[in-house]
Amino acid sequence: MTTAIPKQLKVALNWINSELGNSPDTVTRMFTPSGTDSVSVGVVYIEGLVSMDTVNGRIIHTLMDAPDLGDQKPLNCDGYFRFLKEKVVSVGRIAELSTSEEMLTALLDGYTVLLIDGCTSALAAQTPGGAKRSVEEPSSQTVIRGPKEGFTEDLGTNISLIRRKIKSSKLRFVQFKIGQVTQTDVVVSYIEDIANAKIVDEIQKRLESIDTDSILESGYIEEFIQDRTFTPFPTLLNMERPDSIVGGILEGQIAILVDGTPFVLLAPVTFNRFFQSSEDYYQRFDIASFLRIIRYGSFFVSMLLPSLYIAISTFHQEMLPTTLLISLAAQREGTPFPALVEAFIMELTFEVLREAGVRMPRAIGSAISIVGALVIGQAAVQAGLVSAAMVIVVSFTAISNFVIPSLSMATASRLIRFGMMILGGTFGLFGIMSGLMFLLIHMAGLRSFGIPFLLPISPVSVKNLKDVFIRVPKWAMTTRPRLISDPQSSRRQAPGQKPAPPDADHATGGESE
Amino acid sequence: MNEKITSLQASALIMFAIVPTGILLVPGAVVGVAGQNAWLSVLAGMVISVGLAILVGIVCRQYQDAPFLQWIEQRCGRLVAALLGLYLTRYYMTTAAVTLREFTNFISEEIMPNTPELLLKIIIMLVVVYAVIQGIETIVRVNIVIFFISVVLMFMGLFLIGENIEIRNLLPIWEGTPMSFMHGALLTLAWLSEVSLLLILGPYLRKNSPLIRTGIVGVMMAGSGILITVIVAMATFGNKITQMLTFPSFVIVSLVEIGSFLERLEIVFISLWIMTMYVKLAVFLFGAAHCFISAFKLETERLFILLLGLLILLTSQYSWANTAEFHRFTLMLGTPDLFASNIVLPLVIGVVLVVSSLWSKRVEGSG
Repeated sequence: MTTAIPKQLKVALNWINSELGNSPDTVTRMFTPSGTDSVSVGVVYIEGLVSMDTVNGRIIHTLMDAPDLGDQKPLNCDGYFRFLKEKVVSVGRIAELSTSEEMLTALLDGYTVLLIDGCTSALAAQTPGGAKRSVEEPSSQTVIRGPKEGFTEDLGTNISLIRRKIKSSKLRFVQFKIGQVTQTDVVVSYIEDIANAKIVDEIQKRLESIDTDSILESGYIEEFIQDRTFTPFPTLLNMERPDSIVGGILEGQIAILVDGTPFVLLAPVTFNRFFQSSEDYYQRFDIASFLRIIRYGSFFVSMLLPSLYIAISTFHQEMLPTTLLISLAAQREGTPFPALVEAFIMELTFEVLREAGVRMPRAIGSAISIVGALVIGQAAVQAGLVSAAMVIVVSFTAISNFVIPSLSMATASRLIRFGMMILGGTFGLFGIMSGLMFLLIHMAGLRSFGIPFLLPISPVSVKNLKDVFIRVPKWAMTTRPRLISDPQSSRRQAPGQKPAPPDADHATGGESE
Repeated sequence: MNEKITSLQASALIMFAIVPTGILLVPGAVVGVAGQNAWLSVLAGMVISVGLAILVGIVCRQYQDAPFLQWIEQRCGRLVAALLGLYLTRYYMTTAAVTLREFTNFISEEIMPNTPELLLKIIIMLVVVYAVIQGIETIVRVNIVIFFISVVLMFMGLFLIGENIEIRNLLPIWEGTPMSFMHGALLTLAWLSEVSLLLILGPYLRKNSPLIRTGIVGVMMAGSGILITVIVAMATFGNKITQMLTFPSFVIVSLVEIGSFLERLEIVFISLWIMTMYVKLAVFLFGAAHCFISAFKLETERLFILLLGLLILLTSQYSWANTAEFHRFTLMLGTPDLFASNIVLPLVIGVVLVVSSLWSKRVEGSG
């Protein structure tokens, strides 16, 4: 149901004020522009959402300073409306509004609305502004080599950060408004002919079907559109780095930008994608491959180390070298709890410390480190509550967890760790293997927008394996990932670009006779 | 039937429906009956099983897009299809129950002697039921991951155990009677006859997949796994000691060590073996559920998978009072059941096919 814009300017302004609850940040101004003495114009905007420089300089000032129309003076309001639109308001984006609801939406989007007495249409001039955080280095995904810029909370800035990196006419941004109350702008970005059209359609369909009152962060969107809810594994990737997102878009993935958050979603994703860092592509392929293997190893350590320690020290002592076994037995002799309880105490303590570290004011952060390291670590061992080996296990597990580039995957491994500890403590290695089998089955059944989560390991896709456990040199990655990108545009670069020294005939700098 | 699998995935699945229990039990049994000729017997068993794979492949080709029992119903009527469905459900359930029992027996004897077997069985069946509920695509994907890990670990194991292998232990090449040789070959064939799983898997294969080749590759891979185990066991221990071992493959992996600081690495291999056993059980529960659900055209799949899983658990736990009774059952009834369900049944279907096609040609000719 729509309401027409009242013809009388005063009524229209009153309606806006009453709809917005006479809010103090709503500015309504009525005046007679220069060059005319019979037409009244109203300017409405919401302070804080607009740039005051633009409103004052480009709208109010130009209206006040409008040229004398002389003989061309329009006799009716429609003529004056066209005159304002075409000759006076010097703002890039202008829209004609015909309903009161459109007016409200425009105001809340940071537009300045111009109303003319006697007119049933209004002009909306884009004057966005307000306080914004500038582009800074991302806080959660830092790199040593590579761009230092990160997304911000402003959607327009985020779009520009992507646009600046992909100067292609095929780059698409499709906008949605989600959230009945918050009316949050959500933008889907992809490259036409590179992204798989079926996946683009599926994402758009899922976004359109969201019916909620609010979207405050991309996490809201993630929970609404992921393929399966009951899984510890994320099936969408979130990133703060424009270069990572652009890398994904160029491989055929689709980015989802949400206004108000620097975390941009990327879909579809496979398990291996959570272990890739943008830095992998900026440094040599051999070191990048080595680091990637370290990351996979760390993931398994983070997930399994405490449970393996519990299982081996409780059920399978024969696996340990005799000297280590004796040393462990001596340490555990003084501890009152079984290994499972001991591990639980330590792991939960660490989780508490970690959570406290996040919430703690920075000034007293160092105090927490001391308490954590000395009181919980050293003192607990000296008091005989836990064994020293357990402290080492828990510490190494915690450090390994930070190696995983994606925070959401690191969180998944933290959660799984506790389940594995119970299995290891009750059924030994058999329990751990059963747990791993359950996880493997679960992951093999997962999909991200229809793409198997374990691709390219299972189902096997040999071409996609070039960037999984190892990263082959750039010149060898001639194709885009199969299934994820458009099948018609799989070729990424020309083959045969392996660099080589010049032929002997053309060589320079050789020995001269 | 919306799920589709590739030829390689099906071959690997056939392999892991045979190998997990095959490498555990066949070496001891074959060496026991065929002695020095054991590895030749396994080789002969492989050759015969290739013939079986071809037969099953030919039968499968007749109904590639429809489920096996649906095709039987079209050819022989509803009653025959339902009876055959029940028979096959019984067969797959029995095999799954036997496998579950072998699995828990091994875990109880070698790794977790103090844990109640029922608890182990509950854990195992929970994971297996979850796998089957996820569908055949998920099962084959899991299987492929395990397949690659197995290949890597197998080569690592062979490399590490290399110093213990004595090729002279395989000599002389021929020793013993043709009867014992054939007995060993038939024993191997009984295990490899599980290739008849292709009857169930066939319709799930992608269009125009080479069915016969899928079966042959599956059976050859499984046979190779068993053959390597038999050869390594004989070359390491000689046939006399191998005959005395219940699980020769387990004893072989217990010899694996890296230097003198990493010993008793058998737990690593056992861990992998545990995963392969899960796949094997999932395949048989899937087979039972598929036959039961298609025979009676049921729609609530999950419930019946759960019920069949429970039935397998109870059968495995309470059907045999002790291990001796269990071994007697597998020897007296298990092997004949394998032959009847995996060899005789496809043969009968093949004969019926030939006769019916001859009959229809004759009718057309006379018409």
